[in-house]
Amino acid sequence: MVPIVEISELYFSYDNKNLAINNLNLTIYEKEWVCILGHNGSGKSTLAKLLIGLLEPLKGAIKVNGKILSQDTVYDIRRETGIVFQNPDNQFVGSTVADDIAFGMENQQISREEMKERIDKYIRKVRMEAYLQHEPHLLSGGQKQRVAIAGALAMNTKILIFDEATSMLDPQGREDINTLIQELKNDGDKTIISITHDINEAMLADRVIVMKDGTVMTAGSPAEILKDEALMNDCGLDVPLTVKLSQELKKYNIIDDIYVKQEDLVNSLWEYNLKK
Amino acid sequence: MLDNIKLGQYLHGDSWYYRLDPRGKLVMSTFFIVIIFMANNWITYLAATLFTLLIVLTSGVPLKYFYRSIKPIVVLIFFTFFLNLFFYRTGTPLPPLNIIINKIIVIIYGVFVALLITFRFTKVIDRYIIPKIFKITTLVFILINILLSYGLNYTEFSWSFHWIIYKNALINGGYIILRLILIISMSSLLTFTTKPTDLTLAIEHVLSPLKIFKFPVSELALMISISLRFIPTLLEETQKVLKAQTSRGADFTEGNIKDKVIQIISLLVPMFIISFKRAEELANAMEARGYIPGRKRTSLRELRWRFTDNIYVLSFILLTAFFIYFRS
Ligand SMILES: Nc1ncnc2c1ncn2[C@@H]1O[C@H](COP(=O)(O)OP(=O)(O)OP(=O)(O)O)[C@@H](O)[C@H]1O
Ligand SMILES: [Mg+2]
Repeated sequence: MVPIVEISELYFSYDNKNLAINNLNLTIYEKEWVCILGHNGSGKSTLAKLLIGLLEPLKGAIKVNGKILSQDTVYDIRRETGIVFQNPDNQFVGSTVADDIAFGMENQQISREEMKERIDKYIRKVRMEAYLQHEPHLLSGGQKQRVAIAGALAMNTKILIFDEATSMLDPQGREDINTLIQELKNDGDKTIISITHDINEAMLADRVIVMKDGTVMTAGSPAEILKDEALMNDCGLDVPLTVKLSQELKKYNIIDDIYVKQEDLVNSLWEYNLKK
Repeated sequence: MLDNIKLGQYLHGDSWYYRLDPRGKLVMSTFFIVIIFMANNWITYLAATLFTLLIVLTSGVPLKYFYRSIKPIVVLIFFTFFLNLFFYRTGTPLPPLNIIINKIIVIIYGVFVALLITFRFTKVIDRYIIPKIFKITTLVFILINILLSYGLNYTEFSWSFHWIIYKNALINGGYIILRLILIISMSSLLTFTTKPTDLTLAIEHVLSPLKIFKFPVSELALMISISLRFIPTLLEETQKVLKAQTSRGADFTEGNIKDKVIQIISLLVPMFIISFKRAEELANAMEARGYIPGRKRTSLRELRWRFTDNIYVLSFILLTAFFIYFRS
């Protein structure tokens, strides 16, 4: 596993009093899908902004793709990193959907033909093809998020950061995006860092990282993290339905473990059924 | 309250004029404003009028929209015309209908001012205070000017002072009105038929020679297009703040000047904070997507210069030639 993002002893403060990021160490590997959980104000968005050099750390180093983040490398690093922010309203730069998707590509100096091709491709992926010429104030929040996602994908970067990029999407929309991320991961060389409050998304990730008070509290596979009820409650989240169900079933000795993945639960229920 | 503000004047439609290259339209509309000042007799004005009419009538934009864009400046046209009558004092005078005309005009102004004043002081609820103050001062200004221009000679000045209208003043006034209407029609046509985005792109192209002098043309164009893109969003936001304040008991409809000022401040302060926050987040988003001011970028939109654009430009050159030949 090749590390692509290495963060060591990172500190950051907005007001020089409270540390928003407090001694954070984290390594993310190439082609990994990492999910970051944490309650409101735990510093997730701040971390994302530090990663692309929008904020300057007080102390510590960030290494992206082998380059140490600094004044000289920040533009190169941004070329390799696409990001979708939390608030879709304030990241819509273009005057129409097509213009907005093109904005990042224009900065990368991609040719017009290539841009048109990619816009066509990604607008379909986020199911916004009917809105190509629409102006931003005519779109709903979720639709703007879809456009922002298409814009980040179209830049074709190695690393993608989603900061609650699907928070305004309907369940079907979220599932679409999660499938899309999985596709991207499977057939490409993309590293995905998604900040989320959505446990269904966390279940799909390779690794889940839990942040608290500006630092990494724990990290592990979704199966380990998501079944820890105390930990999940600490993030302001509930455990997945499968975990709840297995807890109940365990009480009646039907199964003897707690399962996060639906198929694992189903398998063990089959086993129980056969044993009977 | 804010619903009736229409943003961008673009009207959806399609015609030969819509399909013209926005660069050509932009440059020619500006050029038109320049050459219209070359017209100075009936034949050149007739040509300019016919030319504009031809374009306007074939552009596919309903005439009522032109009327709408001229309407707000009717008052201005009216004042320009009268100022012209007062100050244009050469040539042959018209026969002295003056006494009656003067009386009528003085009475009209008197009644107008009196109405405005009584309206101002009897009605506490007054939404349109600023335009009214503007109107009153304009009227006072004009009255003072009349008094000054005649008052210096006290033998001439009496309640039935002799106001001589010169023939040229009338004709000239007419030309001024015509000129304003033509200019407004041509410029409105540009904004009616060109999307703001295309217009910005055209501005960027037209100004691009300034890049030699290190003038940030592309940055300026991006700035314009972002501002345009954010106007509706900010209006929406204003409405939200307005509703939020109203729901907390603020009243934006009543009160005297002092209350009004307080009301406006209570609206402006949150709006400023919101705009700054938005601007910062937007700047972040732009930077994150690799925007570097001054760095070369490619562009998704392209402008195409077609054969009709050549003809369009040629028609303006012919009009100019006509002006040069026939002006007196
Ligand atoms: N622009 C800012 N100025 C000052 N303090 C800030 C700013 N943005 C965030 N903070 C503070 O930094 C801390 C971390 O905020 P951050 O936005 O990173 O949280 P988050 O984990 O993304 O939360 P959420 O789940 O709500 O998005 C919070 O305590 C917050 O109050
Ligand atoms: Mg956040």
